[in-house]
Amino acid sequence: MGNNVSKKDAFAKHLKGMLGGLRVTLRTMLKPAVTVQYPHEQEAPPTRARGVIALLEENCTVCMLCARQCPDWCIYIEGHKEKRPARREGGKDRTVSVLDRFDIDYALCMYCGICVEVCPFDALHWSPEFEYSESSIAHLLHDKDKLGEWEATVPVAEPLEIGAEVKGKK
Amino acid sequence: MSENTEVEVGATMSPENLELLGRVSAALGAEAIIESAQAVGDLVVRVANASWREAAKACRGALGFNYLSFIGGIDWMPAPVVGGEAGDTSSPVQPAEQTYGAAGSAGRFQVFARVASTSVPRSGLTLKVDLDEESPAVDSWVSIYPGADWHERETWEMLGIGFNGHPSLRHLYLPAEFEGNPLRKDFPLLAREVKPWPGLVNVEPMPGEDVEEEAE
Amino acid sequence: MPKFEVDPAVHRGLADARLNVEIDNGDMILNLGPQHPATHGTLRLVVRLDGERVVASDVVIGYMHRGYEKLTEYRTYPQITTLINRIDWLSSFANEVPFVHAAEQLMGIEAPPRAEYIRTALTELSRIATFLLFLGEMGLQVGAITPAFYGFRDREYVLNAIESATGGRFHPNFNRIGGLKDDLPWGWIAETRESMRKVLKSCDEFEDLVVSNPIFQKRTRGIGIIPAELGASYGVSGSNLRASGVDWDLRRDGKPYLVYNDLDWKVWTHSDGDSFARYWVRLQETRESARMVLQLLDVMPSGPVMTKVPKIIKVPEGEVWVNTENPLGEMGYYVISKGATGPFRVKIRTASLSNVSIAPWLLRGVYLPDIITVLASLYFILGDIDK
Ligand code: SF4
Ligand code: SF4
Repeated sequence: MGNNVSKKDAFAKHLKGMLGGLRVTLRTMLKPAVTVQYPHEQEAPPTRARGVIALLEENCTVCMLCARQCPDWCIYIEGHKEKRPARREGGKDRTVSVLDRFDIDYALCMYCGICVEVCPFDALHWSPEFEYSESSIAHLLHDKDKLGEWEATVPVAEPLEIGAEVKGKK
Repeated sequence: MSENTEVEVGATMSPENLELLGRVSAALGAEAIIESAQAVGDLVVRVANASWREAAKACRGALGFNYLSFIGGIDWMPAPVVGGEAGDTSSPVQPAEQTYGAAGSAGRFQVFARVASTSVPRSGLTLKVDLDEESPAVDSWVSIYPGADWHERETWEMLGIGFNGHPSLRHLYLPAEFEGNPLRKDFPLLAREVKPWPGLVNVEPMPGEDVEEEAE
Repeated sequence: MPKFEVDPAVHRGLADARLNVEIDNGDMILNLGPQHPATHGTLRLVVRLDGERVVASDVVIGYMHRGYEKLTEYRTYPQITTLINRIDWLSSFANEVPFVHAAEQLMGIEAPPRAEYIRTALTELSRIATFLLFLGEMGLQVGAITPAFYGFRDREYVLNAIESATGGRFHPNFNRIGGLKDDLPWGWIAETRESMRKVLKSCDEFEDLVVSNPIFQKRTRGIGIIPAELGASYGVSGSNLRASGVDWDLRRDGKPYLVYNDLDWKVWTHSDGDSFARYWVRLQETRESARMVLQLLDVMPSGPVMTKVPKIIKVPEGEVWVNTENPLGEMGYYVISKGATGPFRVKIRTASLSNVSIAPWLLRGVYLPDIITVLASLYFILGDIDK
């Protein structure tokens, strides 16, 4: 501020700056609050939110792809093979792989979604559910039953925006 | 590598890079430049160890590169294969022989730096310098680009490369008691060694009798 | 036992981590951090004071060093995109873009136009989210609490837009080599347009509330001046350098990337180079980004968002340097590939490391309370310094 600006002008300028700010706060004060009182009020996360991974056990063939691709090494899978009767009358018995163990350690998981993407049999899905915090880190290891329960919360995929390519049959 | 002669490289270089290379060799002297190459549109020049500080001076002065982007180091040694018992790890398998990237290298360690000009759009130059394998060291750039300070400290602690003339070469990221140079290829990443890879678990035993065996 | 080795000749009698204040030779050594609310995380600042003036200072970093450069050597390309968006966690999407571009350039593929447009929109959204936080927080550092709330409130609109498109508020991992994971969800364009209007309005609010506030101006004008030439030689980039009058923005002046050339926008500079200029430039850039997003939403082309890529991505041998204008400054990856499924070496150039490396120079001679405002106006993210 140069000397040519009189004290009075400077004061007027300061006052104007202050009042401008007060006007903003006053306007905001009159608007309804934007905060959500979380445990009492809930906001639905978007459909795509990566909250928790759900496992559809029937689809899993124990191919291990997800466990191998996981950057954090936090999927633990064990399985064995079983004979099942043939699907069609008179066919040969089938050999299927059955899961013994499917654990995801959410204490390590970084929610990248690689496992969901690489699964060739559509056995893993994202659910936007997020309220599964635990007081002990060990409880963040979800076994296959718990992962199966999340399946009920998986939303149907939403439609895409205008201009998106319509996916043909694969 | 060494077969990549200047002529061959020059033939594949864009006119802008050829022009820049001409200016670099005029400012530095042709004998200081060991090799040059183009890496996806960018000029990479490998200079002699003794000319490293001269190169910085030329960059900041005659070439007008007033901006220091980064200084880093490369260890060209192939990383020893870990978790070899099963022959299968989740980390990518790199070629076993030691090869060098654009503009080549005389040995295992290299320091590379990127400078640019804030007044010329799309300008920039990558410089590389060879180091001695036993006691890798090169001149410091701090007196020319003050921003080199932290980058050189990082390179020193991560790769064990000395910088002659650096005012205080001390740890930047790691605690003072830390031993070893983590970015060297022979420094193991413990997180990948203390825990077996879950992808290695034998999932599928043979059907039939083996199933009962496995169930026990 | 000091945890970090500091050259005794430079900082005699450096404060012990356990002690906060120690008197030595009449000068006072003050230890700020690593757990200090003004240092945005775990940055430790050791300053030597003469009275209230800073004589010398040293920045101790590394409390959050995660070794990304090493980690990338043990991961495949798709695994790395999810890792690197944690470098600068406020603008994660923008971190992914240069790396994906590097891999794409080595492979000689290009993402379809729609993917590039969406990438640009999301990059600008993350820039807005980052800057809104700064615009609010900077107020907090000079003692005004209200702007911080406004900043967080408005950032929420942007984060919601990012989340509904990518599935992650902070870690989108939405980029794939060759395109994007998915197209946008239904209704996203209309919602984002609405959010951008809100952002533009809140920029005006910040102008009234913070910029024209006489107290804020007194605390920031003429303080922490970075001379343009010195800043560049320190590697200071982005808005910090533009606030010193350097008209250099990689979106316009770098190798062409994304679709910035198709947009009508302007690079803002300020000639002062002080804390105020840095605030002002970021405020203008927030506006400019919001306008850019609005333009992008209007001209979004239709089509696929993913090119054909092999199922197992192997990047051919070669090396490439890709740098982009991230919210905090120049971010770049020097990727060296040897034809494997993962890179051989990735040198990560983060903006904050270079931006903060000028701090010891910048803090010399400033008054103690101004340390906080100068640091805040440099605007760094600890993850971006520590890698
Ligand atoms: S989302 Fe989690 S479990 Fe799945 S691959 Fe990523 S880190 Fe692993
Ligand atoms: S990739 Fe899918 S099918 Fe294969 S083990 Fe994982 S969940 Fe099961």
